[in-house]
Amino acid sequence: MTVDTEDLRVLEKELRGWVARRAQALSEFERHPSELGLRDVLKELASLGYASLSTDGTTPGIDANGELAPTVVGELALGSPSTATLLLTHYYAEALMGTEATLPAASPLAGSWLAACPYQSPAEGEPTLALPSGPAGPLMGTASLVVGASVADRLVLLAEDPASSQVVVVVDTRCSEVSEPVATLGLRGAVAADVRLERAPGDGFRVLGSTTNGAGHVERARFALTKMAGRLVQSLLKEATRLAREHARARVQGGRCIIEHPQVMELLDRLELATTLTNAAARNPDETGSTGDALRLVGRSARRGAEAAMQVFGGSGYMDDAPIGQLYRDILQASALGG
Amino acid sequence: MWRRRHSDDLDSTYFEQEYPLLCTPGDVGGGQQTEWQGAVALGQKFAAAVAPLVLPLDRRLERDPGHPLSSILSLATTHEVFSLAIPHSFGGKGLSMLALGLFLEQVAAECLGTANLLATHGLALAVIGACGRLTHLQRLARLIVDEQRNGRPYLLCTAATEAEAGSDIEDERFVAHARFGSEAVPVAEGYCLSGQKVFVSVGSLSRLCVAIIPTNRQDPLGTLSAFLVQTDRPGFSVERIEHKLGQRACPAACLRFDRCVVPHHARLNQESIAGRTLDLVLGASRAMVAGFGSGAAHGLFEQARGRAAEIRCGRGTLLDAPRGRMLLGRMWENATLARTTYLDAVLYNSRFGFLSLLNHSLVRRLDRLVPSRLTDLVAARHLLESPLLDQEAARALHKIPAIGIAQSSARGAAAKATTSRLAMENAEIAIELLGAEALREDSGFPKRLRDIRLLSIYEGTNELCRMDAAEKVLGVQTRETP
Repeated sequence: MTVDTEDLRVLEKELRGWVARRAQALSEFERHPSELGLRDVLKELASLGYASLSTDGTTPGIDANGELAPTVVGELALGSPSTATLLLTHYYAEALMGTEATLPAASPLAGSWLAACPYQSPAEGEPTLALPSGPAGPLMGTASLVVGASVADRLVLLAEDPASSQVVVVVDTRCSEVSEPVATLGLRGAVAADVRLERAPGDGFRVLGSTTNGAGHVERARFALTKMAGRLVQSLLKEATRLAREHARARVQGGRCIIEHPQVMELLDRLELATTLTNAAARNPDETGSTGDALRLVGRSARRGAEAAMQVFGGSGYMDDAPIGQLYRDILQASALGG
Repeated sequence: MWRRRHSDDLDSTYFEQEYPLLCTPGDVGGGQQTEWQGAVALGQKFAAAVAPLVLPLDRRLERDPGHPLSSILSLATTHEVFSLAIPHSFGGKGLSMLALGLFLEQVAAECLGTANLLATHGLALAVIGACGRLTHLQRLARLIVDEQRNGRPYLLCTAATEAEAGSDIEDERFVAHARFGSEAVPVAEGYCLSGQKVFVSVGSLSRLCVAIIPTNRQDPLGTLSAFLVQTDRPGFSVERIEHKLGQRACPAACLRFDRCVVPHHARLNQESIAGRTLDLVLGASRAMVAGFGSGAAHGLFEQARGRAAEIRCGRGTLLDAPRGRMLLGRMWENATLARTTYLDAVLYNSRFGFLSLLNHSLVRRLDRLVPSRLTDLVAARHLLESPLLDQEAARALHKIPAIGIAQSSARGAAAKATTSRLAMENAEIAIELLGAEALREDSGFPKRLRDIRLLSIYEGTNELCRMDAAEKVLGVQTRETP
């Protein structure tokens, strides 16, 4: 099943309405993240049906044309970037699990919310979680920066098997040692934690079969992550552009609004360029070369755009509570999504 | 390659490798390679002492920006940092400005906030010097040395920025249009200062403030002045300490002047300081900030390289991977370019700009020969308090050719904009190299990144610095805004 443009418009409108209605609570949550606030937001999103966006029956979190989840994440990012990151993580985890995401309610691993590590790239990096004796053996090691670990029902993680290939493991959070929230530069509401695991076979974790998590399947999850991360960054850059333009029109220097100064015009141009590049790379990751290339482009553009937006504000943007300062940190953090 | 050494001595081979520009034949203030080597060694030693403090302190300051900085200040006092650039004859260490810059660069490689905390103090002294007030300077020099000995650092700050006048004050062309809220109205006892100053680095810790305020806010260009204000004076108050994104070790305060009356002699200038005087100061201060950029770029490179050597990637480490090597190579390139750029600006200024007065070889040699006990004599003190001294200083300042000031200012501005950009580029590369690891606060990278962000903003935004440099180099003297 594919989602047509009209469906997406309806979805966007619905989400915009919800974000507008909950603007105050979402903004409060972003300013003062708390587990309680997070649980409330997630509960509400689940009740509205955003916990699972399966439309093609095989890959929850991704519809056949790959637009649904990015649209949800992008719209939500305008109201609460951290909540959008949690949702992105959940969808990514669903995509990693494939059909196994829909576990029977009686299963001890069943539950509404999934946590994963959206910063870890399945293709490169350093997997610290391992199955040293293969899928039938124990699970050992540490998964770092697992987003939503403290509120999720299950963790969906990548572990390295003896053949150095990566397999998906689903872990019951009740059996995990979740660290205190790790302070990150941005997206602090999307609480990330380190998870240390030392589990005997079958002790609160399950290794998913190769039919659902072969290389192609992981690559598909990565594709979804790229699109979602790109859309999230794009929304944040759009918001940064709006704030920067607003400030540049209001701030007067040398008897003129700074938006008329060539140096500021150049900064705003750079910001627009970054947004356009992010958009292009995230919309069609395949055309960029690979998802890795697309993620790199998105990351670089995001960081440069954030820099330009921040610079427009000068000292006034450097205050901890300045909206642009918060956005700057969130964009930089989001630029590392996907690894 | 950059390697931290934590000993008192620094071998000359290392220095020659890291600072080839300073080892070429020629004399900028006495051919003081030994002095420069010593300054680098001292900077590394101080940075090593500060290193364990910076991350925990940053976390505390995030919650409470007013958290005491006694640990760092006590280290600075022990290392006699606040008297480094004070002449020997007044009990200081007598370091040249270039040597001080080298020291601060090393500190900046570890913590930009700490480097700024130490340097802000010097900025205020530079303003006093650029106004030709040697009588004030020599008095303050003694006070700083004495209070340091007593373990109570005597800090100074410069209050220039206002909520509606940020970088405006940094450029002569913008001063005329700046929306000043502050004013120093002449009264019988002296001047009555009113208004608010924001983002004043070290404002909450200082005992003396150099306030940049016009005597007529309708004509800031013609009346911009510098006033010495004791911070215990009635009418002066610290309104709040700002919650900043970074460089938290150097707290920024919002200061209030509420009909704060200062005596006539507190005014440091006769003519407006907009233009020539501020150019003298900014040429030197921006070159020093450029050194911060170089230090920050090196610090990031060093930390990223260390971490890359630990991260497994394929059969080796990230340091062995082609992509890792490529990115680290770019970081090294940026750091090296940053150092060259800032040294160029400081060397030029030492020869042709404001620093040429302080670096005059005869003055420096004399300073080494005159013991401080001689300047303590009553007769010497009498001479040093004489207005003749200020008149002589004013004459020397006027002798600095306009072209020297303009070029020093341009090079300082360009170096500041360039090195802060290169440092920020290194921060971006670190994220690309290390991914989310570089965004965990406990790794120390986010602090470096947040700290570096401010380099593009203070001492005039990079955009303003570039515009200033272009104007000075191209010789465009129009008063029109761009």
